[in-house]
Amino acid sequence: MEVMTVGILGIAAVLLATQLKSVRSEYGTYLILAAGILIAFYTVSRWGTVLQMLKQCTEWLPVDRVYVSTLLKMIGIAYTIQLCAGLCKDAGYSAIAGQIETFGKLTILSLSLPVVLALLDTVHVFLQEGL
Amino acid sequence: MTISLIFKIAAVGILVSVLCQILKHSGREEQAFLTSLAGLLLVLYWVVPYIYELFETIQNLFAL
Repeated sequence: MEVMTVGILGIAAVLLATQLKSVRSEYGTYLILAAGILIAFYTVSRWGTVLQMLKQCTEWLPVDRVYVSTLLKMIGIAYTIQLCAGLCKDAGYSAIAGQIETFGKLTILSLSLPVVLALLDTVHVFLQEGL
Repeated sequence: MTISLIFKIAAVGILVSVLCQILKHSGREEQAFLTSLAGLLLVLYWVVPYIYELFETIQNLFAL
């Protein structure tokens, strides 16, 4: 099962990276970057299976396609940002990681604004009829 | 594909560090630097296609 390979991959990379960090520090960073990318391959394939099932569920529900695709975008952005920020933090540059995270949050916020506006529109319509 | 990449990078790292030590002790500073640069380029040559493929997959998967 992939669980084994991901676990062993992580441990092997960490052990080699600690060894290399003492000898030549930049190779420790390359190793952790490579391991992060490889584990991300497995995660993305797991995401694929989950999203397939999610798509089937939303087809039966009366949910508008736009909201589901926005939700998917948000998940994708959140995952990529978390991956890249984590790698930057590991390399020791938390300032860059903070920048990436702030950008990610603002992107997700800007994606969610249309949905909020749609909600406010419906509320506004109800209020108009009520008064 | 997966774990062999990790071992290849570790091997290049150890090789470069040994070479740099030898070159430093024999007085050739700039060649030591060139060796570490070559090691960096080799590792990047291996890792960059994976990075590109990963972000391509993410883009297709989440319709970003």
